Amino acid sequence: MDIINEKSNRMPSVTHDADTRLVTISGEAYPEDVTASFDPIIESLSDILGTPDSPPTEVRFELQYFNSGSSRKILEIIRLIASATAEHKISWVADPEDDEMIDHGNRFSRAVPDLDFTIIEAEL
Amino acid sequence: MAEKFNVKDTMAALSAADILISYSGFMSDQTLEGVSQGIKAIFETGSMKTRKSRKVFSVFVESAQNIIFYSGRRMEIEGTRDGAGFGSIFIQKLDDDMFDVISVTTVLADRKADFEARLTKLLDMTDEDIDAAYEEQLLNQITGSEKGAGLGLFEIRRQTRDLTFEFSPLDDDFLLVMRATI
Repeated sequence: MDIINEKSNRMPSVTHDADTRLVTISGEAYPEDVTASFDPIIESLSDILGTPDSPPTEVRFELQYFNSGSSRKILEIIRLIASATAEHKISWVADPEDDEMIDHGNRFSRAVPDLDFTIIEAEL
Repeated sequence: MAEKFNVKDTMAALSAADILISYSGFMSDQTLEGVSQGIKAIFETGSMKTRKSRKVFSVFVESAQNIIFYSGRRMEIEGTRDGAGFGSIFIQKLDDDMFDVISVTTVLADRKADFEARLTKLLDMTDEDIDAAYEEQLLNQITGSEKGAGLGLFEIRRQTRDLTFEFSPLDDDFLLVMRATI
């Protein structure tokens, strides 16, 4: 499994398992500089998901919190996934008690209506 | 020389108001980092654990970033992108399940009308209007900067049961006090 981003207090871990075709984004996101923090991740995900040879991959979001600045970058990742040639899918995992994170999932799914986007309520 | 600061009266006022967390002065990203971890310790795992913790945390982060990015009174700090902005944040316990996040920031006189118009418009919107405008702004990235300006105020409004603001003159500029009840 490749680590694309190490988890910190203010940025999620991002990992890629090529064998199971799974990208997992897990933790919280409220960095000082969203561009400097997210753009290297987006570049790596573009290499993994956005080439003509990219195999269909599940991208699993397990976020517990993100601030308004990070929301734009999360949307950028989601749009990158949706624009890829391969038929990727998104699993948006949210704590059942976290209405806000479930709402975020619904909101993002409306931005990419043609993408397989599933909201999963599970304890994180 | 500055006046001697009356610590005793300040501490008595904080205690009487049941202030759980207060920070005043120049706020940098490093401040945000430290205080946010403290808030988690208090609200998510400590004796004050509450189902409101996510909302309190979210409003704190957005309010602190408003001060860091947009306060009119600023200090440059070497090695940081944004330096520090002058302001205050208080988290007040109103009862076991109700909290105020009070943020205070400096607004330059020539920016007051713009801030006031944006906040007035925000407060005039219904919850449904807010949700629709937030989604439209997020998905279409209509206005604001990469720092999340605009979206941050929507986020604060969405997380609160009541939001009020007032400007008070300070020297040639204004203090903007925002009180978010969660």
